[in-house]
Amino acid sequence: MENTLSTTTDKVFLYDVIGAQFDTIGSKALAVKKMLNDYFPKNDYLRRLGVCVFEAEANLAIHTIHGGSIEVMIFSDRVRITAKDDGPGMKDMKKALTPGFSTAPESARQLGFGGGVGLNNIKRFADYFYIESSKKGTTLIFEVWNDDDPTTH
Amino acid sequence: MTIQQLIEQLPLQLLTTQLNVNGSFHDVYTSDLLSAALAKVTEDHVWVTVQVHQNILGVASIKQAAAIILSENLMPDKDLVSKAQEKGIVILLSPYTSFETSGMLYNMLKEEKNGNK
Amino acid sequence: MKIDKICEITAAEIIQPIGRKDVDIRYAFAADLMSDTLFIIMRDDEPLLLITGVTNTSVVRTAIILDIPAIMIVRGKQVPEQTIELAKENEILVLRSSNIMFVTCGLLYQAGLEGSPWKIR
Repeated sequence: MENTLSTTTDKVFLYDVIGAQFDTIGSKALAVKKMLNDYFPKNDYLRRLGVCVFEAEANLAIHTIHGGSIEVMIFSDRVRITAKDDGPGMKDMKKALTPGFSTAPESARQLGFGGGVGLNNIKRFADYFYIESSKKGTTLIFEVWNDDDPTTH
Repeated sequence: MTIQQLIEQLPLQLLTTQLNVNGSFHDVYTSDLLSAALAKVTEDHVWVTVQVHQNILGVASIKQAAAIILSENLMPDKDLVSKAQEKGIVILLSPYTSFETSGMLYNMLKEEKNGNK
Repeated sequence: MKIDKICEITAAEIIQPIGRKDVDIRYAFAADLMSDTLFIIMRDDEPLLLITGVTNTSVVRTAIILDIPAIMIVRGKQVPEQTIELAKENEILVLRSSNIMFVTCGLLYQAGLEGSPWKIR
Protein backbone atom coordinates (compact mmCIF):
# COMPACT_ATOMS: atom_id res chain seq x y z
CA MET A 1 0.00 0.00 0.00
CA GLU A 2 2.93 2.29 0.76
CA ASN A 3 4.06 2.02 -2.83
CA THR A 4 0.74 3.27 -4.14
CA LEU A 5 1.02 6.58 -2.30
CA SER A 6 0.83 9.27 -4.90
CA THR A 7 3.06 12.30 -4.58
CA THR A 8 1.75 14.48 -7.34
CA THR A 9 -0.08 17.46 -5.98
CA ASP A 10 0.77 21.12 -5.85
CA LYS A 11 -1.47 21.75 -2.88
CA VAL A 12 0.81 21.43 0.12
CA PHE A 13 0.43 23.37 3.34
CA LEU A 14 2.84 23.40 6.26
CA TYR A 15 2.07 24.13 9.92
CA ASP A 16 4.56 24.38 12.78
CA VAL A 17 3.71 23.11 16.25
CA ILE A 18 5.59 24.43 19.27
CA GLY A 19 6.84 21.86 21.77
CA ALA A 20 5.91 21.77 25.47
CA GLN A 21 3.12 24.27 25.01
CA PHE A 22 -0.23 22.83 25.99
CA ASP A 23 -2.54 25.81 25.98
CA THR A 24 -2.59 26.24 22.21
CA ILE A 25 -3.26 22.57 21.39
CA GLY A 26 -5.90 22.35 18.70
CA SER A 27 -5.20 25.71 17.10
CA LYS A 28 -3.35 24.19 14.11
CA ALA A 29 -6.07 21.55 13.73
CA LEU A 30 -8.62 24.34 13.55
CA ALA A 31 -6.58 26.21 10.96
CA VAL A 32 -6.29 23.02 8.89
CA LYS A 33 -10.01 22.34 9.15
CA LYS A 34 -10.90 25.88 8.10
CA MET A 35 -8.45 25.75 5.19
CA LEU A 36 -9.79 22.37 3.99
CA ASN A 37 -13.34 23.62 4.03
CA ASP A 38 -12.62 25.25 0.65
CA TYR A 39 -11.67 21.90 -0.88
CA PHE A 40 -14.02 19.46 0.89
CA PRO A 41 -17.12 21.23 2.21
CA LYS A 42 -18.47 18.11 3.97
CA ASN A 43 -19.03 18.27 7.73
CA ASP A 44 -18.49 14.61 8.58
CA TYR A 45 -15.34 14.38 6.47
CA LEU A 46 -13.89 17.54 7.97
CA ARG A 47 -14.68 16.35 11.50
CA ARG A 48 -12.82 13.10 10.85
CA LEU A 49 -9.82 14.93 9.48
CA GLY A 50 -9.95 17.60 12.15
CA VAL A 51 -9.91 14.99 14.92
CA CYS A 52 -6.90 13.21 13.43
CA VAL A 53 -4.93 16.44 13.03
CA PHE A 54 -5.91 17.49 16.56
CA GLU A 55 -4.42 14.28 17.96
CA ALA A 56 -1.26 14.59 15.86
CA GLU A 57 -0.87 18.17 17.04
CA ALA A 58 -1.40 17.18 20.68
CA ASN A 59 1.32 14.54 20.35
CA LEU A 60 3.78 17.07 18.97
CA ALA A 61 2.96 19.63 21.66
CA ILE A 62 3.10 17.19 24.57
CA HIS A 63 5.73 14.61 23.66
CA THR A 64 8.51 16.40 21.76
CA ILE A 65 11.45 18.54 22.74
CA HIS A 66 11.34 21.10 19.93
CA GLY A 67 7.81 20.62 18.61
CA GLY A 68 7.42 19.60 15.01
CA SER A 69 5.65 20.15 11.75
CA ILE A 70 2.38 19.10 10.19
CA GLU A 71 2.31 18.90 6.42
CA VAL A 72 -1.05 18.75 4.67
CA MET A 73 -1.17 17.43 1.11
CA ILE A 74 -4.44 17.76 -0.73
CA PHE A 75 -5.45 15.37 -3.50
CA SER A 76 -8.72 15.24 -5.37
CA ASP A 77 -10.12 12.40 -3.26
CA ARG A 78 -8.04 12.47 -0.08
CA VAL A 79 -5.85 14.42 2.29
CA ARG A 80 -2.49 13.18 3.49
CA ILE A 81 -1.03 14.44 6.75
CA THR A 82 2.61 14.03 7.69
CA ALA A 83 3.60 14.92 11.25
CA LYS A 84 7.32 15.02 11.98
CA ASP A 85 9.49 15.82 14.95
CA ASP A 86 13.14 15.45 15.97
CA GLY A 87 12.76 13.50 19.16
CA PRO A 88 12.90 12.01 21.67
CA GLY A 89 10.87 9.29 19.90
CA MET A 90 8.68 6.60 21.38
CA LYS A 91 10.39 4.04 23.58
CA ASP A 92 7.78 1.36 23.06
CA MET A 93 5.60 1.58 19.97
CA LYS A 94 3.33 -1.30 20.98
CA LYS A 95 2.60 0.33 24.31
CA ALA A 96 2.08 3.71 22.69
CA LEU A 97 -0.70 2.15 20.64
CA THR A 98 -2.34 0.59 23.70
CA PRO A 99 -5.43 2.51 24.82
CA GLY A 100 -4.84 4.08 28.21
CA PHE A 101 -1.06 3.98 28.02
CA SER A 102 0.34 7.48 28.19
CA THR A 103 3.61 9.14 29.14
CA ALA A 104 2.01 12.59 29.19
CA PRO A 105 2.84 14.67 32.28
CA GLU A 106 0.17 15.35 34.89
CA SER A 107 0.11 18.99 33.78
CA ALA A 108 -1.19 17.83 30.38
CA ARG A 109 -3.76 15.54 31.99
CA GLN A 110 -5.21 18.41 33.95
CA LEU A 111 -5.98 20.06 30.63
CA GLY A 112 -7.83 17.01 29.37
CA PHE A 113 -4.96 15.43 27.43
CA GLY A 114 -2.84 12.37 27.96
CA GLY A 115 -5.68 9.87 28.08
CA GLY A 116 -3.61 7.50 26.00
CA VAL A 117 -6.04 7.14 23.12
CA GLY A 118 -4.62 9.72 20.72
CA LEU A 119 -2.72 7.50 18.31
CA ASN A 120 -5.56 5.01 18.42
CA ASN A 121 -7.99 7.70 17.43
CA ILE A 122 -5.93 8.45 14.35
CA LYS A 123 -5.44 4.79 13.52
CA ARG A 124 -9.16 4.18 13.66
CA PHE A 125 -10.31 7.22 11.76
CA ALA A 126 -7.65 7.28 9.07
CA ASP A 127 -7.78 5.15 5.93
CA TYR A 128 -4.02 4.85 5.78
CA PHE A 129 -1.72 4.88 8.83
CA TYR A 130 2.04 4.65 9.04
CA ILE A 131 4.37 5.48 11.91
CA GLU A 132 8.08 5.12 12.54
CA SER A 133 9.99 6.27 15.54
CA SER A 134 13.56 6.37 16.80
CA LYS A 135 15.52 8.55 19.21
CA LYS A 136 16.05 10.94 16.32
CA GLY A 137 12.36 11.53 15.92
CA THR A 138 8.96 10.27 14.90
CA THR A 139 7.25 10.40 11.52
CA LEU A 140 3.53 9.81 11.36
CA ILE A 141 1.77 9.65 8.01
CA PHE A 142 -1.94 9.18 7.59
CA GLU A 143 -4.56 9.71 4.94
CA VAL A 144 -8.25 10.35 5.22
CA TRP A 145 -10.21 9.51 2.10
CA ASN A 146 -13.20 11.48 1.05
CA ASP A 147 -15.23 8.76 -0.56
CA ASP A 148 -16.09 6.23 2.12
CA ASP A 149 -18.01 5.76 5.32
CA PRO A 150 -16.00 5.46 8.57
CA THR A 151 -18.51 2.99 10.04
CA THR A 152 -17.43 0.30 7.60
CA HIS A 153 -13.89 0.13 8.99
CA MET B 1 -27.89 -0.20 46.42
CA THR B 2 -25.38 -3.03 46.17
CA ILE B 3 -22.83 -3.42 43.41
CA GLN B 4 -24.54 -6.69 42.52
CA GLN B 5 -27.86 -4.90 41.95
CA LEU B 6 -26.07 -2.27 39.90
CA ILE B 7 -24.49 -4.91 37.68
CA GLU B 8 -27.84 -6.59 37.09
CA GLN B 9 -29.90 -3.48 36.52
CA LEU B 10 -27.83 -1.47 34.04
CA PRO B 11 -26.46 -4.09 33.09
CA LEU B 12 -22.69 -3.95 33.49
CA GLN B 13 -19.88 -6.42 32.99
CA LEU B 14 -17.76 -7.32 36.02
CA LEU B 15 -14.09 -7.33 34.99
CA THR B 16 -12.62 -8.11 38.41
CA THR B 17 -14.34 -11.47 38.57
CA GLN B 18 -12.45 -12.64 41.65
CA LEU B 19 -13.84 -9.87 43.83
CA ASN B 20 -17.12 -10.00 45.67
CA VAL B 21 -19.82 -7.51 44.78
CA ASN B 22 -21.76 -7.35 48.03
CA GLY B 23 -20.58 -3.83 48.80
CA SER B 24 -23.04 -0.98 48.56
CA PHE B 25 -23.01 2.67 47.46
CA HIS B 26 -25.34 5.64 47.69
CA ASP B 27 -23.78 8.15 45.36
CA VAL B 28 -21.94 8.49 42.06
CA TYR B 29 -19.14 10.74 40.90
CA THR B 30 -18.42 11.18 37.20
CA SER B 31 -15.09 12.66 36.13
CA ASP B 32 -12.03 11.91 34.05
CA LEU B 33 -9.86 14.24 36.09
CA LEU B 34 -7.92 12.33 38.70
CA SER B 35 -7.57 15.38 40.92
CA ALA B 36 -11.35 15.95 40.96
CA ALA B 37 -12.01 12.30 41.73
CA LEU B 38 -9.35 12.38 44.43
CA ALA B 39 -11.13 15.29 46.07
CA LYS B 40 -14.71 14.06 45.80
CA VAL B 41 -14.94 10.26 45.66
CA THR B 42 -15.61 8.49 48.98
CA GLU B 43 -16.19 4.87 50.04
CA ASP B 44 -19.88 5.53 49.39
CA HIS B 45 -19.26 6.34 45.72
CA VAL B 46 -19.13 4.56 42.43
CA TRP B 47 -16.78 6.43 40.11
CA VAL B 48 -17.67 6.72 36.40
CA THR B 49 -14.82 7.53 34.02
CA VAL B 50 -13.18 6.88 30.65
CA GLN B 51 -9.70 7.04 32.18
CA VAL B 52 -8.02 3.67 31.85
CA HIS B 53 -4.63 4.90 33.05
CA GLN B 54 -3.09 2.90 35.92
CA ASN B 55 -3.37 5.95 38.18
CA ILE B 56 -7.13 5.43 38.56
CA LEU B 57 -6.33 2.49 40.84
CA GLY B 58 -4.33 4.73 43.14
CA VAL B 59 -7.21 7.18 43.45
CA ALA B 60 -9.85 4.47 43.94
CA SER B 61 -7.67 2.72 46.48
CA ILE B 62 -6.91 5.80 48.58
CA LYS B 63 -10.54 6.91 48.56
CA GLN B 64 -11.85 3.33 48.92
CA ALA B 65 -14.37 3.81 46.11
CA ALA B 66 -17.07 1.13 46.02
CA ALA B 67 -16.34 0.52 42.33
CA ILE B 68 -15.04 2.10 39.12
CA ILE B 69 -17.27 2.03 36.04
CA LEU B 70 -15.44 2.37 32.73
CA SER B 71 -17.77 3.84 30.10
CA GLU B 72 -17.97 3.20 26.37
CA ASN B 73 -16.89 -0.43 26.70
CA LEU B 74 -13.40 0.92 27.19
CA MET B 75 -11.54 -2.29 27.94
CA PRO B 76 -8.43 -1.65 30.06
CA ASP B 77 -5.38 -3.85 29.64
CA LYS B 78 -5.10 -7.08 31.60
CA ASP B 79 -2.44 -5.64 33.82
CA LEU B 80 -4.82 -3.01 35.17
CA VAL B 81 -7.50 -5.60 35.89
CA SER B 82 -5.11 -7.90 37.75
CA LYS B 83 -3.70 -5.00 39.78
CA ALA B 84 -7.26 -3.94 40.63
CA GLN B 85 -7.98 -7.46 41.80
CA GLU B 86 -4.91 -7.40 44.04
CA LYS B 87 -5.96 -4.08 45.52
CA GLY B 88 -9.57 -5.19 45.88
CA ILE B 89 -11.00 -2.52 43.56
CA VAL B 90 -14.12 -3.58 41.68
CA ILE B 91 -13.98 -2.62 37.98
CA LEU B 92 -17.13 -2.65 35.87
CA LEU B 93 -17.55 -2.12 32.14
CA SER B 94 -20.46 -0.09 30.78
CA PRO B 95 -21.57 -0.25 27.14
CA TYR B 96 -22.86 3.31 27.42
CA THR B 97 -21.16 6.70 27.38
CA SER B 98 -20.46 8.47 30.68
CA PHE B 99 -23.49 10.70 30.00
CA GLU B 100 -25.85 7.75 29.57
CA THR B 101 -24.32 5.69 32.37
CA SER B 102 -24.65 8.66 34.73
CA GLY B 103 -28.20 9.35 33.56
CA MET B 104 -29.32 5.79 34.20
CA LEU B 105 -27.60 5.65 37.58
CA TYR B 106 -29.19 8.96 38.56
CA ASN B 107 -32.63 7.55 37.82
CA MET B 108 -31.91 4.31 39.67
CA LEU B 109 -30.69 6.09 42.79
CA LYS B 110 -33.67 8.43 42.67
CA GLU B 111 -36.13 5.57 42.42
CA GLU B 112 -34.43 3.81 45.29
CA LYS B 113 -34.68 6.91 47.47
CA ASN B 114 -38.36 7.37 46.58
CA GLY B 115 -38.99 3.69 47.26
CA ASN B 116 -37.51 3.99 50.74
CA LYS B 117 -39.77 6.86 51.74
CA MET C 1 -34.14 20.79 23.72
CA LYS C 2 -33.67 24.54 23.68
CA ILE C 3 -30.72 26.17 25.48
CA ASP C 4 -33.03 28.04 27.84
CA LYS C 5 -34.69 24.80 28.85
CA ILE C 6 -31.30 23.16 29.46
CA CYS C 7 -30.32 26.07 31.69
CA GLU C 8 -33.58 25.85 33.60
CA ILE C 9 -33.23 22.11 34.22
CA THR C 10 -29.60 22.26 35.37
CA ALA C 11 -29.78 25.68 37.08
CA ALA C 12 -27.14 26.89 34.66
CA GLU C 13 -26.26 30.39 33.52
CA ILE C 14 -25.16 31.37 30.03
CA ILE C 15 -21.72 32.87 30.42
CA GLN C 16 -21.03 33.26 26.69
CA PRO C 17 -24.29 34.07 24.86
CA ILE C 18 -23.04 34.72 21.33
CA GLY C 19 -23.90 31.81 19.07
CA ARG C 20 -26.80 29.65 18.00
CA LYS C 21 -29.13 30.44 20.89
CA ASP C 22 -32.13 28.92 19.14
CA VAL C 23 -30.42 25.61 18.52
CA ASP C 24 -32.44 22.52 19.36
CA ILE C 25 -30.06 20.18 21.22
CA ARG C 26 -30.64 16.47 20.71
CA TYR C 27 -27.56 14.76 22.15
CA ALA C 28 -25.28 15.18 25.13
CA PHE C 29 -21.79 13.90 25.81
CA ALA C 30 -19.85 14.20 29.06
CA ALA C 31 -16.05 13.99 29.34
CA ASP C 32 -12.98 15.69 30.69
CA LEU C 33 -10.63 13.96 28.30
CA MET C 34 -10.61 15.75 25.01
CA SER C 35 -9.25 12.71 23.18
CA ASP C 36 -12.30 10.80 24.32
CA THR C 37 -14.56 13.59 23.19
CA LEU C 38 -12.88 13.56 19.81
CA PHE C 39 -14.20 10.04 19.47
CA ILE C 40 -17.71 11.25 18.93
CA ILE C 41 -17.77 11.90 15.29
CA MET C 42 -21.46 12.36 14.95
CA ARG C 43 -23.18 10.37 12.26
CA ASP C 44 -25.62 13.16 11.59
CA ASP C 45 -25.47 16.89 12.12
CA GLU C 46 -27.89 16.92 15.05
CA PRO C 47 -26.73 19.44 17.67
CA LEU C 48 -24.89 18.15 20.71
CA LEU C 49 -24.11 19.57 24.15
CA LEU C 50 -20.62 18.92 25.51
CA ILE C 51 -20.61 18.60 29.31
CA THR C 52 -17.16 19.00 30.88
CA GLY C 53 -15.19 20.03 33.93
CA VAL C 54 -12.29 21.30 31.82
CA THR C 55 -12.22 25.04 31.18
CA ASN C 56 -9.17 25.75 29.04
CA THR C 57 -9.28 26.82 25.41
CA SER C 58 -8.81 23.28 24.10
CA VAL C 59 -12.42 22.59 25.08
CA VAL C 60 -13.58 25.28 22.68
CA ARG C 61 -11.28 24.00 19.94
CA THR C 62 -12.68 20.51 20.44
CA ALA C 63 -16.20 21.90 20.10
CA ILE C 64 -15.30 23.70 16.87
CA ILE C 65 -13.64 20.64 15.34
CA LEU C 66 -16.74 18.55 16.10
CA ASP C 67 -19.31 21.22 15.13
CA ILE C 68 -20.65 21.32 18.69
CA PRO C 69 -22.72 24.49 19.28
CA ALA C 70 -22.72 24.58 23.10
CA ILE C 71 -20.51 23.66 26.07
CA MET C 72 -21.71 23.13 29.64
CA ILE C 73 -19.09 23.72 32.33
CA VAL C 74 -19.85 21.83 35.55
CA ARG C 75 -18.92 22.30 39.22
CA GLY C 76 -19.36 26.07 38.82
CA LYS C 77 -15.77 26.38 37.72
CA GLN C 78 -14.29 29.75 36.88
CA VAL C 79 -13.75 29.96 33.12
CA PRO C 80 -10.60 31.74 31.86
CA GLU C 81 -11.09 34.87 29.80
CA GLN C 82 -9.24 33.35 26.79
CA THR C 83 -11.73 30.48 26.72
CA ILE C 84 -14.68 32.87 26.67
CA GLU C 85 -13.00 35.00 23.99
CA LEU C 86 -12.30 32.02 21.72
CA ALA C 87 -15.86 30.78 22.18
CA LYS C 88 -17.22 34.21 21.33
CA GLU C 89 -15.12 34.50 18.15
CA ASN C 90 -16.34 31.11 16.99
CA GLU C 91 -19.92 31.49 18.25
CA ILE C 92 -19.82 28.57 20.66
CA LEU C 93 -22.26 29.04 23.54
CA VAL C 94 -20.84 28.48 27.02
CA LEU C 95 -23.14 27.53 29.90
CA ARG C 96 -22.17 26.94 33.51
CA SER C 97 -23.87 24.93 36.22
CA SER C 98 -22.81 24.63 39.83
CA ASN C 99 -23.93 21.00 39.78
CA ILE C 100 -21.36 18.22 39.50
CA MET C 101 -21.10 16.30 36.23
CA PHE C 102 -23.08 13.32 37.55
CA VAL C 103 -26.08 15.43 38.58
CA THR C 104 -25.95 17.51 35.39
CA CYS C 105 -26.01 14.33 33.30
CA GLY C 106 -28.76 12.84 35.44
CA LEU C 107 -31.04 15.85 35.12
CA LEU C 108 -30.57 16.16 31.35
CA TYR C 109 -30.88 12.44 30.70
CA GLN C 110 -34.08 12.34 32.70
CA ALA C 111 -35.37 15.34 30.74
CA GLY C 112 -34.83 13.50 27.47
CA LEU C 113 -31.44 14.41 26.01
CA GLU C 114 -30.00 11.37 24.24
CA GLY C 115 -26.53 9.94 24.48
CA SER C 116 -24.51 10.78 21.39
CA PRO C 117 -23.84 8.07 18.84
CA TRP C 118 -20.26 6.80 18.94
CA LYS C 119 -20.02 3.81 16.71
CA ILE C 120 -16.31 3.36 16.42
CA ARG C 121 -14.41 1.98 19.35
